[in-house]
Amino acid sequence: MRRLISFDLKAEMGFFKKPDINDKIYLSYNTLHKPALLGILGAIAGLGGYRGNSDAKKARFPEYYERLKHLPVGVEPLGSEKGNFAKTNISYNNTTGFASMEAGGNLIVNEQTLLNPAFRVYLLLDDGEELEARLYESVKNQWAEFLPYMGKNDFSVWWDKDEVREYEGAAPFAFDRKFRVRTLFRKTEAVTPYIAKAVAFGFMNFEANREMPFTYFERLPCGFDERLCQYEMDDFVLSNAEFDEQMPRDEAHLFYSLEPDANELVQLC
Amino acid sequence: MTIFKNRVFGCAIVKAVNANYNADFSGQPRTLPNGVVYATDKAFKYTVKNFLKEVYPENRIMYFKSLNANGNPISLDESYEKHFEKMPNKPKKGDVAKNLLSCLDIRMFGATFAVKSTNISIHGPVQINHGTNIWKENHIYAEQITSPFSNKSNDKDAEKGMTTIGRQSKLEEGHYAHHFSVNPKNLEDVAVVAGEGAQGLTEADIALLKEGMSKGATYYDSASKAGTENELLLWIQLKEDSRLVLPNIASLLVCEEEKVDGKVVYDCRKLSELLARVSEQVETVELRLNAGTVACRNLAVEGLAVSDIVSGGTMDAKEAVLSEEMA
Repeated sequence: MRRLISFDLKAEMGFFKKPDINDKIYLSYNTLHKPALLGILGAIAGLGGYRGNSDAKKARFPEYYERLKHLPVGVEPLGSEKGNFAKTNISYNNTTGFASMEAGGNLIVNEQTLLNPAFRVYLLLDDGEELEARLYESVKNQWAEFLPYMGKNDFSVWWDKDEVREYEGAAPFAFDRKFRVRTLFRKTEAVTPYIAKAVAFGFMNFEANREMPFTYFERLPCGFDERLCQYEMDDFVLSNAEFDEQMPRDEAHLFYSLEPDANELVQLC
Repeated sequence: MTIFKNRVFGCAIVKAVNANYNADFSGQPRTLPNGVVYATDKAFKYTVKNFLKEVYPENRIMYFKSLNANGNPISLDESYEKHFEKMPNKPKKGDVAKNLLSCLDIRMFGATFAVKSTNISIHGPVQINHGTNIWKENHIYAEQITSPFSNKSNDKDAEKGMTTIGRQSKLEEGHYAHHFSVNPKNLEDVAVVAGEGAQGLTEADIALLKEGMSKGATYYDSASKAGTENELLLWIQLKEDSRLVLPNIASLLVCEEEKVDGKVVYDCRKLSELLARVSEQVETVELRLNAGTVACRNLAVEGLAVSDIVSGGTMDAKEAVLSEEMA
């Protein structure tokens, strides 16, 4: 049986390194992305990480990636400012002289750091698979074999087992009505023309506490190019707007409605 | 030597009064965008390693700055050579790993050992988070100071009538709370590489860790860190087979706005609630505090072991916990 569950990952700080730059300042993605999330799930299930310690010559991917890359996951930022998390720059001094060949032996590292990142993570787990059943048990009981962290091991991650949810009525969405998407989703072409008019012109059916619609875009890693050992990137959207059912979409990645007749969706990639 | 196998969560609080526990590159105490001061995990680990190196010199501490004959910091290769042997051209990974694990700091905090001939990464069992100030205020002040010397300008013969003026920044009062965890499972991976005879994290190491975490900051007295003291160490040790993940412990302690008898008071209600919910997986809870300056409130934990950091003596749990508001 496949079941859709969610749990809320929280941390005081977070850092998801962008590989674009490796000098002066290290930049962070704003959102937890699939390769990083799989690492957290791997820690929870006790799978091996990057085996820098093995003598294997050829590039190998970590055990957690090999065994979990097929897993459909969705990520919904929590407590963000329209999708965006507050950030600060942290500078470190590494004076041991071990880290680099800097003149004077002092390496200064500047790191862009996310403040109070939190994400609701949706997983579509198959009970028939031993690993996924184990993952389900661990998440439900707030267990982890290795302690997970938000991109860097100074930033521990936790979740509360009372906030683990199961969506028994979840089903693939048929796109027969307007919808909203709670998670980030992949876009194939511009999505703003498909924002349902009623929201775009909110004053026409005025509600005092209607949220202002926003769309947030970020280019995020969604997996690895296994030949080049590089991130595979895709364009993601986060929006609270209601979209028309004609919105063009990536058919390869399913949208699920959380309840049978609801129009609240999550995309699982 | 008994190997330590339990998972631990906890919180270490460092007090800074008229001190600069951890400065940024402008010399001010580090601040978040909302003005709250914080310290990195490195600042705290430095105090622990420094304490262990100086007070227990029989233990090997490798990841620490040391200087060569010319007063310049040595490289990783040179440090390996200093502690062990010259790095061979084609070293056996297992031998290097075994050597690294003989260092107390690496058994605790791990290491990234990347030299030309080999590459070993050890995920340390002890992980420390950044510590944020939980005291109500974040008052940073700067003061002008004079140097006893004058700065000669380019013109060597021109004398100056004044000495040089500088400035230093300090924090009026702060209580930095660092969350930490210990997960001995992190070493399993490298223990396999190191093979037989490799050292693991022992009970004796843990005793030293606790001591370093409760005394290191007080022990370290530089001009800017005088006034920085260890105030509290909370140690929640889970049962050996427990795989539980606990939330950030530092965020569960609330620092009360008013002091009582000059002591800063931590309200532990949220922590007590958490511990009550997971009590069947907790083996021991230990509290070490500076009883002269700190008190806890609403800390209701069965079998709580309390001791005073300063005297080292054990205390009755009732003494350390303010009782008037106990439910």
